[in-house]
Amino acid sequence: MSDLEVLDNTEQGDGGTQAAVETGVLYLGIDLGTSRTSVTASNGERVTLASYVGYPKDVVSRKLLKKDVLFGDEALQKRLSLNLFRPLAKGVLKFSEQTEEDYEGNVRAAKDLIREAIRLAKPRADELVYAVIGVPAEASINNREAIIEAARESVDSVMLCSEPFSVAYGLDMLDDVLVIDIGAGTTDLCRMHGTMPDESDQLTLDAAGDAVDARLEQELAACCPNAQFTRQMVKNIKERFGSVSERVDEAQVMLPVEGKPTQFDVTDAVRAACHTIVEPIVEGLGRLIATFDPEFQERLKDRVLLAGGGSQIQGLDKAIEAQMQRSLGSGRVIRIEEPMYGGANGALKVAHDMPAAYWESLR
Amino acid sequence: MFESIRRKKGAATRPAPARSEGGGEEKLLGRRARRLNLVNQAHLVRSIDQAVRAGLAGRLTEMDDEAIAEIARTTQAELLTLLKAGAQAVRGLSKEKFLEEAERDRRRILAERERASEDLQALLEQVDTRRREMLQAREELEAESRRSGDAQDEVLAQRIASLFEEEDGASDAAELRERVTDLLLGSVRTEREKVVKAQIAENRQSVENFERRITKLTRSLEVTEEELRRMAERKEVDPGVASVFRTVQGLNEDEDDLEAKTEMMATIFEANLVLQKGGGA
Ligand SMILES: Nc1ncnc2c1ncn2[C@@H]1O[C@H](COP(=O)(O)OP(=O)(O)OP(=O)(O)O)[C@@H](O)[C@H]1O
Ligand SMILES: [Mg+2]
Repeated sequence: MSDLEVLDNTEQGDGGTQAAVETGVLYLGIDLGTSRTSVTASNGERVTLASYVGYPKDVVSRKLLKKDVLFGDEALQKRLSLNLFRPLAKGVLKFSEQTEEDYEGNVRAAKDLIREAIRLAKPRADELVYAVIGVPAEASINNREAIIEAARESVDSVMLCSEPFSVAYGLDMLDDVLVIDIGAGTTDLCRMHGTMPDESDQLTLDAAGDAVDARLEQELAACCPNAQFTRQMVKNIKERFGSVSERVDEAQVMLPVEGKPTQFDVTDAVRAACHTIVEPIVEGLGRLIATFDPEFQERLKDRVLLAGGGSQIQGLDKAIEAQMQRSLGSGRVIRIEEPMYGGANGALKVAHDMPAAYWESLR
Repeated sequence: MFESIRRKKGAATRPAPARSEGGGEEKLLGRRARRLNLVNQAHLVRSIDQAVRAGLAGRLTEMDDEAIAEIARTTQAELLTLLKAGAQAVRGLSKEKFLEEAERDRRRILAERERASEDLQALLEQVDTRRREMLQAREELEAESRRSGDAQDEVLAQRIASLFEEEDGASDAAELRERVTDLLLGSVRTEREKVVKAQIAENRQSVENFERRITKLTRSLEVTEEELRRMAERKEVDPGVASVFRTVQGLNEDEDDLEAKTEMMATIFEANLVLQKGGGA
């Protein structure tokens, strides 16, 4: 090494923290979804895993699985020998009707899930880890406390923000924006107008991925007589062929009939099922628009963001636009670039933009 | 509190890098992340030399040039070592670098083990031969001493007999002769046994030495095995990927909607303060 690289410390004086100069700061943006958890990090890592956590049911299972805890798709696959948790599923982290034991189990699973997500982002042992976690807009206060508690074990400082907010913030669209976040269990609609959204800016619908799956199951039963399939197969078909476009490649699938693989054309069934979420979503948008300052309603209609795993249905943006045209007079929908990472990317940006003093006072 | 932060930010004079549009990660991470000053080592060395000379020359007039030069040299060496150590600690190893080094370590240890086990094999063979040689030598020695011993004894006995025969007759002389013979033979045998024992002991000594070396080699082989095992474990412990940020960043002065974003950060923080610390501060 003929040249010594000496870090320029001059611009770090205004950051307020001297310790950080030596250690380095890893920011994490985490999207804690009910079905998927995604992380993007300021070291360039990005990971996504299904929000499932499983613990071996007994000693024999533990011996066979050779692990104390399994995550994501692996946990789902081996669910028969596991106590399976979906710790972020609706209402799971709050007390409600559950037994104390279930609650404890879910909190532990949430902790393990967050720890695993952070581990996958490969933080260095000598770095400070500051994380912003985007949580579903409607997450209850109990839920939020449980998430904080779970995250504290793995990070130096943590903040929560609403997930649709982080999606919009990540795209620098802060003013007069409507965010549609289509997940598995729920579709979250959120109206943004410069400050943090509150209760009245948010709407949660059941018209989401799972609802499409349920509908597609019915459609397939009708159009593929005697064919056998599971909900997982239905979901796979949707993710492969999902579309609401009129002009689209034919969706041909092989399904067993009395054990014999048989080919079916499911194009219309898939389109019909996928289309079922368009109307409820536009109806929800309409409600958020109607209760907004009339002067800015047109602008709001013109700035609709489409995000979430469930938004990957082909032609969905155009279909929502068309429906907005019909029922609201106008509308423009912008599909975000990485639907799976939109929330995490935005949370990462929030983490980055947060002043040092804030991070420190939460440590 | 937020006021003070905002004012602080306002007062800071930061370079204003060009701002690009779009929500890409590049934009997010690229901006102020990697500001490095490169200091040329030769320049650094020269500067230290000058600084030391200037500092000492003024104060210690009685010090000769040679001593000052020596101090400058040690200072340079010390400082460079410190800087290098510091620089490494700050930068850490990249993952590739780490894996590369781990691989190199592993290969070195494997080579060591290879060498050690070859040595061990050779030693074991030598010891085997030695033991066999020793046993054989012992047998031969014993047989030889028995054979030659018997013959020698006879020669000796005859010599003594002839010595006494010259005197002729006396009956107690016969008795005396017998006793002298026994005495002599006994002492000769003891001497001979001593020699055999010494030779055997010498052989045993060399075998023991071999055995000691074997124990040592075996232990060093165990150590390399242990090292290998640890290496395998170390490989699984990912050292992680370093963040592109060394410090907390915060909003840029030239950020679009700076005021709105500052406000939003404050709102998020306040909500979290209430959530996490029950609203104190
Ligand atoms: N290519 C695809 N086409 C259509 N739908 C898809 C596709 N890929 C994934 N999905 C659906 O996206 C949904 C999951 O979306 P996402 O990962 O955003 O959920 P989440 O944020 O964890 O859930 P929630 O928002 O309910 O908490 C699932 O219903 C899945 O089937
Ligand atoms: Mg989501």
